[in-house]
Amino acid sequence: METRDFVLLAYAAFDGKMRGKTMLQKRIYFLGEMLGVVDELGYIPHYYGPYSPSVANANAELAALGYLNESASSATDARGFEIVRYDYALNNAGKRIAQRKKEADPDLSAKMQQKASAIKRAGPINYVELSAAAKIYFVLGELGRKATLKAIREMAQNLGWAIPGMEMDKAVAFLEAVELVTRSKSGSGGQ
Amino acid sequence: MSEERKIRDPVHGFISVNEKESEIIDTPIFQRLRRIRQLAFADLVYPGATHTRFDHSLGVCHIAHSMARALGLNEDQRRLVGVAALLHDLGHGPFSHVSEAALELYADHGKLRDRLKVQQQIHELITADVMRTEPDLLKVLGSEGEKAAKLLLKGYGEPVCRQMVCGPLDADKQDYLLRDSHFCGVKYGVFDIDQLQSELCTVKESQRVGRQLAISGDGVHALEQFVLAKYYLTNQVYRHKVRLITDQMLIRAVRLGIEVDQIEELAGIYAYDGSPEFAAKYTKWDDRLFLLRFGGEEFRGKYCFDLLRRLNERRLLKRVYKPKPLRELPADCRDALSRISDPRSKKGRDDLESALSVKISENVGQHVDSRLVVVHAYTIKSLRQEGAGDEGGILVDESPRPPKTFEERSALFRSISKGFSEGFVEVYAPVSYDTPCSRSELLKKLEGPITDVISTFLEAGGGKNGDA
Repeated sequence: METRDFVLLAYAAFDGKMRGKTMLQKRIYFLGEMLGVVDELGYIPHYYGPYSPSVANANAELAALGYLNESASSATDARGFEIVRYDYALNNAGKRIAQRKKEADPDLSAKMQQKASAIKRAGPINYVELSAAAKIYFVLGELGRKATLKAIREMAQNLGWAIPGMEMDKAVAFLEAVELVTRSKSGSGGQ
Repeated sequence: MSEERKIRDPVHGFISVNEKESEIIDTPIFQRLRRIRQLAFADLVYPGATHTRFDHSLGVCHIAHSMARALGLNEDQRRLVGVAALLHDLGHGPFSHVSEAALELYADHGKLRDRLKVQQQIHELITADVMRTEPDLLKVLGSEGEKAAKLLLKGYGEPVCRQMVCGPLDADKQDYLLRDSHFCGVKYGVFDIDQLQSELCTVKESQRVGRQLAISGDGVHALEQFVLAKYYLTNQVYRHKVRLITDQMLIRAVRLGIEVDQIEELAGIYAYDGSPEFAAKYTKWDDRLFLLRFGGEEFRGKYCFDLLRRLNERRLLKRVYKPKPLRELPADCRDALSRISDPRSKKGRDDLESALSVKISENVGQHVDSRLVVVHAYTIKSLRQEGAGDEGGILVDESPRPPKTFEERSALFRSISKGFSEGFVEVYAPVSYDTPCSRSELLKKLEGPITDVISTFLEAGGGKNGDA
């Protein structure tokens, strides 16, 4: 499946809306992981966690084709700094195309809907916590899917990521809720 | 201390290369870059644009060294980044990005599946293959070859090292904007490189993690100028209609040469399977050899010959349908149309071009060969999209606060409320005009019929292919 179609179906699975580019990137990262296609989405380690230029381009293409509406708003992040957030929503043309994609691949569409529901149920989680969860899961992949929290933190540092303790706890709880990791008795996370 | 060699460059003045870089430059595989033009047939519209991947690679190496000094990289990092910068374009084939399109079409994607998950462009894989296997280069590079290949592919060492040669602020873009502007004789791509470089810095999430490339708060205006330069150069030079047409003619020459003319030798050039043998064969080809061979008498009468001869004589296909914003076409056909230029969408494209040739023939009163009708769809990024960067945004140092993205920090770019990029479609065909007046009349006459064909064809599901 092409990245653009995957992103379009992801919008449909999340009620046609994405609040912010970070949320878009990380939600699609997790959908990719949960559906076993993340490698095809081209995620690389970026400053804010796993990031896919292909997903960003696909989002821009959907906008260029007139399938997405975009709005910008100023907000304050958890540390009190002003940030600009770009929200996206499928318009009628986008919903129509998404419906056609769903009909073309009902199996993937149903699975994606199911996984998106699991992500929504595991929330509420803000974009910072979701980024931390994505960083942890990305690092787990690099470490062969089984590692202690200490090892995860160290590997994350090699990739240029710091994950504070509080974010780590919430992120691990999220990953457990969506059944991407289980915690063993010794306290290590792994799948 | 290694000996330096100085090379005169019209863009940067003197370029100094160290002993190892000098040896690399003297290898035949690097010298081949002298015969691959940076902008393919752009000289048909900008006569000065005959510069090559060779001079560009020297420029990238020069910029990478100045960035490395400014950022305080250690000696090992500087050496590695310099080598990677010098070699970053080694895997380009004849006519640079035109060969990339042909590789996309004819490479064995099954065998490359795992490698293409990481890399988006096939020439980057070929670059790494050459760095790992080319005997003369290996002699010079030693173990550094593998490290430099890794640096270009996924990164090696601190993130900043890769970001200097592959990223939104990399030495590659800094050089090509200035160089392409210089040789095209335009000012669109000019920016204050000294100011930009003096404001480059690094950021880290904590003391223990690797550094990331960023720009200081005082460098935001220089960066705005850099992003604007990229935007203007893209739209005024890289997307110039003659350049789009010549690129499409080259791609069509390869495609028809392989699929209709059945020239096996041509097919062999682009059948990339990831093997070291392929890289060795592929890098024997350059612009000159390609034109001499496939535009040579042996292939007279073939499509490939005809198109290459047309390019040589500047008898170009004509744009018969002005750039039409995709948003102006029915919603249902935009998706299919935007994929029709994907080299893998062969069947749907052939059918559409065939239907268009009938309509164009009717309107111009001359037979138009459907194989020479080219539908080309592309996207132009909005200025804000350019500012966001290809890799998640350029970071602006706000220490002691966490960094912000350039898009957030720049008042100029923040003030642009819309981030939408725009998709367009054009059609080229082998028609001739008697006068400029008949050209504009023809464009006017064809607009309605071509829009109808595109809309009805794609709404009816004609763009779907089994081979996509």
